[in-house]
Amino acid sequence: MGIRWKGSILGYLLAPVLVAVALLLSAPLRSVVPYVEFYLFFAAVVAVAWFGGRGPGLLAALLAPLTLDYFFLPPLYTLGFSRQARPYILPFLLTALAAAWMSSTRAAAKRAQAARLEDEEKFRKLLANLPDVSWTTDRHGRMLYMSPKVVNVLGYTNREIYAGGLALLLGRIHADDLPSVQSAVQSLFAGGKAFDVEFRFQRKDGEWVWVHNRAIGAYEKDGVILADGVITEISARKQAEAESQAKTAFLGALVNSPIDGILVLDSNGRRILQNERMTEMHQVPRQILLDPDHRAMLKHVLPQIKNAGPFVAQIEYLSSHPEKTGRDEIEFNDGRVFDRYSAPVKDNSGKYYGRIWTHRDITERKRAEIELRSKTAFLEAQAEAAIDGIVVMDAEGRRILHNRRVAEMFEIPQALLAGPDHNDVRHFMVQKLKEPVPGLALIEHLYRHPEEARREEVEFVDGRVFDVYSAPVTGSSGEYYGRIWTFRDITERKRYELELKSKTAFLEAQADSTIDGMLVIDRNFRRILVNRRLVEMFEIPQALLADSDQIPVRKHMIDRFKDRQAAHALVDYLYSHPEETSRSEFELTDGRALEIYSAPVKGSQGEYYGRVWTYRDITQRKQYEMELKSKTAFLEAQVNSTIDGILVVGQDGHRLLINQQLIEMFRVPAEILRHPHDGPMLEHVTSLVKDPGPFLSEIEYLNQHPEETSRDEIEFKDGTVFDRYSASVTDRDGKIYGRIWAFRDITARKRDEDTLRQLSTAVAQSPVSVVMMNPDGNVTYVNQRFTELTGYTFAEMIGKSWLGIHSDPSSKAALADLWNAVREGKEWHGELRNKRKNGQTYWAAAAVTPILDAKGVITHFVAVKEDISERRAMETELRQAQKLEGIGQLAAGIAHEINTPTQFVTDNLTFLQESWQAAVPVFNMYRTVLRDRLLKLAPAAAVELQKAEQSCDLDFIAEEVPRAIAQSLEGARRVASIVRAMKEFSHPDSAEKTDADLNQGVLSTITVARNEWKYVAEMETSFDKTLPPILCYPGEVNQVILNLVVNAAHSIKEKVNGNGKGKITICTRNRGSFAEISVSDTGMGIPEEIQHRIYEPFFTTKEVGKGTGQGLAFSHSVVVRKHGGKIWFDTELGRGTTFFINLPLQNADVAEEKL
Amino acid sequence: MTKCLLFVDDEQMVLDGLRRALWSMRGEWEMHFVSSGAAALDALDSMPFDAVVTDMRMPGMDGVQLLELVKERHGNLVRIVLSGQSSKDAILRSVAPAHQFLSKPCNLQELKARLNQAFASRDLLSNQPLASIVSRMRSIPSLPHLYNDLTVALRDENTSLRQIEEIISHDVGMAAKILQLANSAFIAAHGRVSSLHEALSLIGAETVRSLTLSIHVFSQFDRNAATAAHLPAIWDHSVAVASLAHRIAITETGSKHMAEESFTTGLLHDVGKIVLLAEMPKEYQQVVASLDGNNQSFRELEIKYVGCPHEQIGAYLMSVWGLPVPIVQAVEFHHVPSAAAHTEFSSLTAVHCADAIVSASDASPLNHDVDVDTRHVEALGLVDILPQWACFHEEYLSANARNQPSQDAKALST
Repeated sequence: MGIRWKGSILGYLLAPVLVAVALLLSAPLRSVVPYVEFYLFFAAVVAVAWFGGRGPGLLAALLAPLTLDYFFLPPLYTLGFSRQARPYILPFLLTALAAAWMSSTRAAAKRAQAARLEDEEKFRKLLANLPDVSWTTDRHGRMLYMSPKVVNVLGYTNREIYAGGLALLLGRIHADDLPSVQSAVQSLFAGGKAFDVEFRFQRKDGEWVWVHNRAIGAYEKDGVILADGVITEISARKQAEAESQAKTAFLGALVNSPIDGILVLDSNGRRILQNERMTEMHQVPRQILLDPDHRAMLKHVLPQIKNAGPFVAQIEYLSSHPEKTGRDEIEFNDGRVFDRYSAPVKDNSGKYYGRIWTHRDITERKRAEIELRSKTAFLEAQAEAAIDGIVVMDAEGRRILHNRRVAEMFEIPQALLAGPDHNDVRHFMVQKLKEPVPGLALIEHLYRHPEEARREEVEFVDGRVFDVYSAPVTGSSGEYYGRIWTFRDITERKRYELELKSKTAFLEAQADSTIDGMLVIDRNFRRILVNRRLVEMFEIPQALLADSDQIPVRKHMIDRFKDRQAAHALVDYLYSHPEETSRSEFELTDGRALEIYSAPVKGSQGEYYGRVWTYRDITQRKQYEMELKSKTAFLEAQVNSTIDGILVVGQDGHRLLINQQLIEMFRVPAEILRHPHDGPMLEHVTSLVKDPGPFLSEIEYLNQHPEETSRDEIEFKDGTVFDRYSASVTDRDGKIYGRIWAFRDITARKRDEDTLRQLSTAVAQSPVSVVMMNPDGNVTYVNQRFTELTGYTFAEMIGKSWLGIHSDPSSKAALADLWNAVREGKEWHGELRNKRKNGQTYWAAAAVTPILDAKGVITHFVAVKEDISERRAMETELRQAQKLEGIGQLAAGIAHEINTPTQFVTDNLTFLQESWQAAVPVFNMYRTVLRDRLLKLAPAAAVELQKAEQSCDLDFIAEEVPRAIAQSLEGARRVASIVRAMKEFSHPDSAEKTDADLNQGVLSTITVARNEWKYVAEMETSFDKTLPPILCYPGEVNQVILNLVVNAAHSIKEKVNGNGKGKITICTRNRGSFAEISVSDTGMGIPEEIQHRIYEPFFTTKEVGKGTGQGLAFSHSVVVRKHGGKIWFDTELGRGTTFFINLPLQNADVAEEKL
Repeated sequence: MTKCLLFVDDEQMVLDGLRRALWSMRGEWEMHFVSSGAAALDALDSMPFDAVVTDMRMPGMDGVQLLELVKERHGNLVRIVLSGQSSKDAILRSVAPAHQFLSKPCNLQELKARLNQAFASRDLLSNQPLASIVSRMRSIPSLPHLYNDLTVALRDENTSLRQIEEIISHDVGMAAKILQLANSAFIAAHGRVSSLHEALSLIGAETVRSLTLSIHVFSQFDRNAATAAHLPAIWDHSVAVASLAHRIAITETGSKHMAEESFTTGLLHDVGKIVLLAEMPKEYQQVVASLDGNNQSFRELEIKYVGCPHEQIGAYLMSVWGLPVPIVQAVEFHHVPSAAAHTEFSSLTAVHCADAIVSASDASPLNHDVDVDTRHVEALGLVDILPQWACFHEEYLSANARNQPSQDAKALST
């Protein structure tokens, strides 16, 4: 209430404050807005009424007009309701009232709202604190509310569920429960039915929980159909339910499943429960069963029972003693026997509810018991009767049975046997064993493995040996009842066995240790012994050996013999004559040879027990025999067939072997041969040897060193040479028996070797190159000359193709021809152009010959080559000279033909010239004289004459005829000079050196070669007039100059290439002891890389067909070789070349001068 | 005096050409042209001729046959071959009957020169019948032992040209013949050859061999001739003069050519004596016999017994054979060089001086036929040098005496 009061006070204070504020604001604003004070005061009244309520609002409504009146309405400061103010009072009051009412209405609404909110909050808190989860959802599956507790139940927070909606929840429901949940949801919203389902839900953490979800029904709110519900976790309840159900089911099954009949009666004797078995057992009719009173039932059962008295008495007794249990056996008339058991039914607190009766049909068991008893009795009797000690134990280790024999055997005290505990007995028995520990271990083992049977021989401390057999006692269907132990004293048997074994082992070892096959058969044809060797020998199958019957084995064995008839015969004979022994050899089908020995086996008194057969494999021995025979034969054949003389001398010096060859070789006299000792023989041989000293010392040495071999050559006085080989005769073990001497006549071979050595030396040192090739053309030998010739060494050539060094293409055809010839086995002769290692080519005359072996097969080729480059060059030069000579002869012939006409042409021209010169003055005289006279005598004729003179241009004729003649003469002279130059150039008559005018030679050469140079070059000559005639071959020298001029012209032609002319300058100089000729051109010059090759024969830079490549080679040869001169050149690429030739003037010493 | 010439050629146009070309010589020469050998012989029989110029190859009778006949019948004619044939073989075949060989086309000036020279030499001869003898001569006989040496040497294939030259340069006859051949037109196409060495070089050893051994261009003296005894003296003299002339020329001019020419000329200067000894032995024997104790000069004796001096005979032979003018002149004027009107040193000078020097010391009267032509020597200013040249000869003699003491004896014995 205090607050409300305080609010009122503030409300009342608010009225004057706001009015004052309005007054303060309106004073300055009034000048701006007229009548603003009214609005302001109006606003102030409204504000006070709104915030302060009715009272303050009315106060403000009253104050406002007064204030207006006082401050704003004239007359001023009239504190009271002026006329001007009065109209304001009512509107202000109404306004204040309206504002106050509105304000209070709003406040009431606010309060109601707050109260509702509070209620809701309370409810919400309540819900939130409930263990169950409450929820609200609409029909569209939107989850409108879910209490936060949900996280505990479903694992999802309510926010997650808001987001996921109903779909999320449905998605986690167990698939088995989902249809019922969905149909429930459907019916909730569609039919408004109550929703109550239990289902399994998988929590967010994956754990399944049982959930009970229920909702009253759907309702509509704000147009939306909603449903509210609660979720409760019922997992614990569900589990308990399941357990209870299982227990009930178990109990039910328990009651119904056993073979026992069960009957439960309450304290009033009413039947509460009776199982099917019970009904079946007593063949209870249905109507009796319907009656819960047990007496009817009892009445039905009693007549079936053999002895009803005790039966009933038991029932009576137990009914009167409800706390007792009882058990008895009931025998029925039909022979069945029931085991009846009865016990009170009580709860935990001991409250008595009734009694349970259990009946068990033990008819079969009873019968089995009787049977067992009889059997046991029989068994015990049997056990007592056995010589073996028998102990039977049941599955639990209790002794069921033991016989007297056991007790005797083990000397078990009676007291111990009477005791119930078998452990003592067992302990006692074990103590008797020689080795108790393994005995105990065995027993332990067998109890752990009841199914195992075991038989052991056990030795006792006192030396007895027992055969202990232990086997499980099992029922017909394999069930284990216990174990029977049988003990048999085998001490005696063991002793005999041991003896037999050792004897047998000894026998078998003996039989097996022999390499012979052994078979012992008793008189009943049973096999007593067969050793391994025999089994192997005849490959007797083990199956046959399993039985001791010898008949099948014998058949098997005889089948292996090549001659089965003979084998049969032998066997039959021996068995019918037991006392006979036999030894024979047989061959088996596989080629082995056997020696068979058979003898009877007799006792000490001569009694016949059987027969022993011994088989010995003598295949190897037979082979050795054969081998030895053949070897011996071979050796003898070898000794006699060899070309060597052979002598074998024993250690003692006696001759063991000598063959015919040796006798012939040394021409050994018969009397020496008769002597068995080697001594005389040696003397004889020594007398034949050229140098007996070393011969004898070698023999001496070898006699002292019998193990050594030696080889040497012996020369005899008659010149024959023997190859002597000696070796000791030893066997494989190195035992020395003697010494073998082999002599071979190698006289011919020595001679051949010498010849061969001489020949090979001749080849190696031959002045011609020799190459040997295999049939593939690969080199196998080259001699020294080859290396000198080609530059290839032996090592470089071996294995290489011979053709590989003949890569000069110009010889291709010749090489093909060569191979064709030699492959056919023919010899080939010809000339080849080859290449040296340094790339130089040379001409070789070659002869290639195939070497044939004895069969005519080509084994090698021999190529013999000679460098004929020189000769070829000479031939080339000769050809050149012959050509020159030919040209010369032709020139001479032509010259003759031309010379004669030239003679008279010249003569006539000379005549014309002279006669013209003589005639012209005469003619002129005529003219002068005639003209004068004729003008006077016959003017007409004179005019005509003048005309004629003019028309034939007599003056021109007079002037030109002499010149025409002079030029014709010049022409004729030129013809003559050319002809003479040709002759001079070729010098056909100069077969030997003659003095020649070099200048003249150059001139005539230039003339002859004019056609070569005149289109490309000017010719300039500079002759030394002091040059004396030089002794030379003028034609050849001219040819040299010609070559140089032609080369010069070609070089220039190449350079000018049709544009302008170059220049050729030829100079001759007298250099005192020699004449120098130089030929210079302004041509291309000679490239450096070919400068060193230009004098090589056949080297040319001109295109094919243009040059022979022989010009400079020829020139070089002429100048240097024939004239003892020099030729060299200066060249500058692109500028030209000058060739210089020096020819000696005093060349008397040159060899060529000799005639 | 008009010379009468006969031209023979089977080619009429050649004859016509010659007639026309030599038309200018019509004043000096009377020329006849015939086109066959037979016609030529007819012409020669019908009238006297001075020279015959014939082609070589002609149908019927060829040039060689014609000239052989001409030589027999008309010995004094100058016989010249003018042939278009130029092979050496042809020339060699013509060597015997022809004096000279000219090849077509021939510069007629050369022909004129050679003929005129021959005519001039002949005209000089005071004894014309000698001309006939001379022009008939195929060869000048050689000394038998030299000829023998040569044939022996040539039979040896290894004999060098130099060795041949060595022999020939000692024999006047062979030297003369070699020079004749060398100056045949074909070989000496470029001027005449006056050097024996050059001549041999041109001809070549092979040709010399065939000339000597198969064509027999050389001949040897008849050993039984009355004059044979004089030969060695003349030979020694000729060689001595040749050697000295050579030395004089080389010391005086330094020219090898001049020296060679001087040598050749020296060798040939007394060729006339040899001709006379060979052809007119009796007459010349008289000359020689008259030399002793006779006041008449050698020349006078020659004219008296033979009809003309030997130098004329020699000169004529040389000119007919076509030897170079200097040699002919030197032969002709070697006694009186001043007559040749030479104003400078020539081979004539060398030979004359050498001859004079050698003769002075020569034992044989046959060689005492010359005195120094003082006019000539003085004109050339060589008077002072003569004693020095005489010394050269002394050296030569002493050297020769050492090397070839038995030269004469050998010559005589063979």
